[in-house]
Amino acid sequence: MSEVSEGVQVVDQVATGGEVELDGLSKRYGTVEAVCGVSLSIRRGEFLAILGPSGAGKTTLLNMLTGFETPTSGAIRINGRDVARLAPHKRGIGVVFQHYALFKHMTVAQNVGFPLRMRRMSSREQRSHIQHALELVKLEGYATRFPDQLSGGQQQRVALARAIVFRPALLLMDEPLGALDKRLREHMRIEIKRLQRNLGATVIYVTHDQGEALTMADRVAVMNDGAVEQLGTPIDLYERPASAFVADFVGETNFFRGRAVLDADGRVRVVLDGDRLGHRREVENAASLKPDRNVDVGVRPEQVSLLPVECADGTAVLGTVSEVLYEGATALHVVETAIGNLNARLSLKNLRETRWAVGDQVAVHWDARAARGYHVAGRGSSPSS
Amino acid sequence: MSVDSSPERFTDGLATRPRRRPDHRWLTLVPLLAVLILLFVVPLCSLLVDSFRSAQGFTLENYREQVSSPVFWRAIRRTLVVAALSTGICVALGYGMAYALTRMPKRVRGVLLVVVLVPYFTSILIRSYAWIAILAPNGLVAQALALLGVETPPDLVFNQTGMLIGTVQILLPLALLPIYSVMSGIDRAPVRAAQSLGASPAVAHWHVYRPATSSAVMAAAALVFISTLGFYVTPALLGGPGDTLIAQSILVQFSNLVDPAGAAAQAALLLLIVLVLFAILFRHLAPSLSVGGTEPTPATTTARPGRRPPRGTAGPTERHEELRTLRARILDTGLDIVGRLRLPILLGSWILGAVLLVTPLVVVAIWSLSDATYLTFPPEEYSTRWFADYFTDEAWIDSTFLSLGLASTAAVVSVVIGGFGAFGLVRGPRRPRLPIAILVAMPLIVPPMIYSLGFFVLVAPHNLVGTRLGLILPYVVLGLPFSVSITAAALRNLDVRLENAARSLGAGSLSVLRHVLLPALRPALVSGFVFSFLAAFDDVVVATFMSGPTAVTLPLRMFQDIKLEVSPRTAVVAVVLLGAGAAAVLLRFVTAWLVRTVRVALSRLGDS
Ligand SMILES: Nc1ncnc2c1ncn2[C@@H]1O[C@H](COP(=O)(O)OP(=O)(O)OP(=O)(O)O)[C@@H](O)[C@H]1O
Ligand SMILES: [Mg+2]
Repeated sequence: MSEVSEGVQVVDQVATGGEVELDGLSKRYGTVEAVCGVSLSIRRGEFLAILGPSGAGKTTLLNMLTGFETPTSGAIRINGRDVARLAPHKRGIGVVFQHYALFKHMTVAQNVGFPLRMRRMSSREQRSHIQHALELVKLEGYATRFPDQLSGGQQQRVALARAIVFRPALLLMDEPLGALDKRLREHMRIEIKRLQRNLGATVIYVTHDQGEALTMADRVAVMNDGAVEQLGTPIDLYERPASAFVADFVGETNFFRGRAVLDADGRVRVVLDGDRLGHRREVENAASLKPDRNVDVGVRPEQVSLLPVECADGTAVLGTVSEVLYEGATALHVVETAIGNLNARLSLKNLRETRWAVGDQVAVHWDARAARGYHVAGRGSSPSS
Repeated sequence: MSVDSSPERFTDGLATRPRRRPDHRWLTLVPLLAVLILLFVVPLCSLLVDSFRSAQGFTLENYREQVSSPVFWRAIRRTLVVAALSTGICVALGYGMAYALTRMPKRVRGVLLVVVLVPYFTSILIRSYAWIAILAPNGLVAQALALLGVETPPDLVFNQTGMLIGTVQILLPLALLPIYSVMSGIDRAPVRAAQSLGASPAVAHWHVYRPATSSAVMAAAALVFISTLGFYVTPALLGGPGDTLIAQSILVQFSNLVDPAGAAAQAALLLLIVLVLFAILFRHLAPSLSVGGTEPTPATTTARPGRRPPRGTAGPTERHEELRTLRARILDTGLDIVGRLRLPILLGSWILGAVLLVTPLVVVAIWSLSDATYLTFPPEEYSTRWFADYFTDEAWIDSTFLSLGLASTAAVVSVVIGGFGAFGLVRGPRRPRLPIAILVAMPLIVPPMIYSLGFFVLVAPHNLVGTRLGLILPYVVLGLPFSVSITAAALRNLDVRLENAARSLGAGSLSVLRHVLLPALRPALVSGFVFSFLAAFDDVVVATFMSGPTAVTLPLRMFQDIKLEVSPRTAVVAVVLLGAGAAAVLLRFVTAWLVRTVRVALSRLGDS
């Protein structure tokens, strides 16, 4: 009876999340700048995803948070306290490691109980906490198993239970679902999200899977080459990417090289290379573009529509369908045009009447609000190569 | 039940099913088993029979006599004490050194491994001898102490202290290497996980890292302990007259007291101790036997150190709980201290270990240039007279060539027999694998003194003593554990489908051997040869029994020379041998480099 009430107590203990602030955090290995000048502030109870390609510095950033790496410069504050030079075992941060890092020679219960044992909790108290943590991850019956007697997904949950059982204010996860198959991954996304909501913990979640980042996070930090390229909500990120890199990395984007020109009405428009008519096209973020600079215009494949040539207005680009890839609910059309090859993802529902086949002539069209321009750095080439 | 995921189980099945022909691969085991049974098991059995024999027939009198002799018991006790002490020191030092190694950058690791490996491959005899020069009353340590103002240095040699130092130096690599090989494969992520969960570095090490090494530590301890039980050369050289260990005691019983039956009884008792220990420690030693891919080895099913989790509702009492917390607190305090001192501890273990391992080699090199005829270190005058002495002394040169010849012949035979045997062991029937692997390991486990005595007594009436054949046969046996286990390990890593593919393409057994197995196994066969060669080339014990006036092996000659007077002559031999070894290694690298350069040059020519 008493055990039950203790368990309930743990559940009631909600909203303990910590506030995290990174201030100009840098880490250099010899000449490699793995992380350079990252400043982030993470709110209490927030779910922040760090998204970036391999080598972006995600693990390094996390290691500085957990204390396994010392920053070259910068500060880490958790609830206002600078922890940058505190030993890992004194930080009280829950960590879920990429390959789980379970203790193979201990049972599930011993694994989950380890942080409690380190905190000198009496074994009776430990038992109720372990029990409760295992309930949270739906592994009640597995307490006496050893890790190698569990499936990958179950091991993942043990790692999760072990990281939350001591109710850390901050929970870090480094690609926790990386080793699971697709279905399980999608299932675990929901589980982790639910758990985080129940616990109220602040979560920093490292991944290079954009789907995970977009579906789970309150905010996403996109990292590239050691720096944060953009920090924003998933909708910000997808609809208003701050750079060509983000546009390309989060979702898919067609890029067309062009040049920004100042129009008579004071607005900046873009003329695409190869556009024979030299049409001045509007882009959504025209205000942020500088005239007379090279610009990449990005349009997402699902924002592109294909029309019969007869319907083409002055702005449309003409092209030939060179490939049609069936994807289930949608079909990806590859179109060759004078401004370059582009992808158009068309919903099959809307295609009932007009289906395009390879070799068809089409007029390519997109809404000006769906196009964004990005300055091309130096003589750099288009990122969609 | 652990799941057997060995690929062999799967591929074996695939390999044998379509072929209806009976599998004759076990035939390759025949020579190996024949040699082991005839030349190893039979001598040991005959020794056992001898130990029960008297003029009147069967008797237990030999045993009664030994068991009631205080001399024998003292030797046993001394042996066990020395073995326990050297095991403790070797394993503790080896653990620290191995752990430090895994935490070092790759390049430093390579250099430090050389520091361990060069002494490991240097003969036991030479290393023991060097310690005399270091520890003797007018040796290196005494001189150093005198400089510090210590007038009467402690007695360090010709007593148990010297014996212990020598033994530790010789067996340290034996403890370090298996521990290191396991440690270098350990994933550090769980240690980090433990730290993130609130364990300080030392506590994390204790709860998470140490359990992963415990089996290797037990294996290392077992190896060192069992080896020390049969140690002869080092105690004989570094121990005092009253410090005989059991192996020496057997020899004394046999040759000085001319009591073959008593010696046989002592040998049988030592054998009993060794075998009982082997049986007890078997599950730790099993992974290093040449089995693998058999039914789940005992090590994987039973070596699960995790404590059972608390069961049911019968919770521990308050007192119990208090005791437990107290114990945990004491342990944590201890670990905390160790954790704070971990850098000095690791550094200290390496300094101590490196000094122990390297000093003898350096001392031998310097001493070989001494002008003196007796022991002074450092030498007062330098000359090359002892080199000249060695190269002009026909007896020494003869012994050198005799030993080279014997060791290489024995090593070749042992590699051939062991190679085929390994094939039968790995590719042959599954069931007899474990017993055969145990039998193959036995020449390494059974003290050479016991085996040599048995062999000698058996063949003495047949005019084999003093002949080359009489020396080569036991040397082949001593080489087999190495050649079989190394080749078997390589074979196990070799995909069986390669052989099957070759067969399916029409290759006969001989072609498969020539075109598939030999090229793939060459490195293993070469290192099998090296280890077998060294086993024979370092031997003193077999030679003590089997040498005759016309065939004195080099180690035996050195051993007798040292026993007679401690002169720099052995140092000269040591330097010559070390130089030859280094030259061989160098030659191998140089030829490899030459071949590569020539190949590159030729391909360039072809391109242009
Ligand atoms: N210990 C180290 N020494 C030197 N360079 C390092 C070290 N650790 C990381 N780096 C470098 O720092 C950069 C960032 O590495 P990091 O592991 O943080 O990337 P990541 O974003 O986690 O990549 P992934 O998605 O592949 O895990 C890489 O260029 C890497 O080579
Ligand atoms: Mg990483």
